[in-house]
Amino acid sequence: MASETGLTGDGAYIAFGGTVLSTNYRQLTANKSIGLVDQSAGADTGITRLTLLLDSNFSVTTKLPAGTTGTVNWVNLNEGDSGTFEYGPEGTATGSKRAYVTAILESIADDVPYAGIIIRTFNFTQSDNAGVTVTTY
Amino acid sequence: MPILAFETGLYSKLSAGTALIAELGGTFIYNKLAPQSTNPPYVIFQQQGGGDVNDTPIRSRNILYTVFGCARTPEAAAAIDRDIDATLHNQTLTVSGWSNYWLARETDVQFVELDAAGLEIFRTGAIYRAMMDYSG
Repeated sequence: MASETGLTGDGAYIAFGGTVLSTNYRQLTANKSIGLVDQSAGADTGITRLTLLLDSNFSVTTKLPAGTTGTVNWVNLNEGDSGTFEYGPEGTATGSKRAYVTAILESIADDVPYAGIIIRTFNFTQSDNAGVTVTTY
Repeated sequence: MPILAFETGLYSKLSAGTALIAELGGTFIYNKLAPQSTNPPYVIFQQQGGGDVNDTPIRSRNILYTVFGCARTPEAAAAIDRDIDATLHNQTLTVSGWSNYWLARETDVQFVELDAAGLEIFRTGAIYRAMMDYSG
């Protein structure tokens, strides 16, 4: 049986509108989905469905750096911003996995504990008729 | 070497504490163990736990060090601990290649031992947590 090598996120590339988010990121959660509608008829014994619209959303959690250095700072990303969200779980080397979609930065949440790292979470929502393009670099 | 860099920074911080050095009567600060036949008072620091966090691409460390004063009486050991606390708690270390952004006292430590002559050495101090990011 052929073996498969596991993949960790330590080399992932994540960016939105040209702003790199992967420099100090902790977690990326990417969700791709499609809407479904029930097309069952009265005499059916099992559910059948039709597909509706593609959708996706992405959540990126990063450390908030000190001062004004770093791309994920206080002012350069704001709710309502629109741009291309892309990520490559293996990095950007030729042939590596790549996914991208036009998205809106829907929300920004800061978690500020007294005795711990300050964490900023960006939530992006798809705004693209084509859905997520899955390709390679 | 992150351990060596941190311990160098910790020693430098402690040895720059004027009240602490005055309390000790000199720079009697040792890593893990005082030289044989060294009489108190002195300070010992030693690695207690922690290490690399590995939660982001930027290397980060979260470590624990025990730092305590050693003296012939509980009062004298507590006085050294007071000065250690003032020198370290919520302060910043200079660690080569790293940016130290958190240093704080957490757990108190207090115990007594007998030296080779059967005399008591009282040890009072605390475990300190340090967090730092690799800065190159």
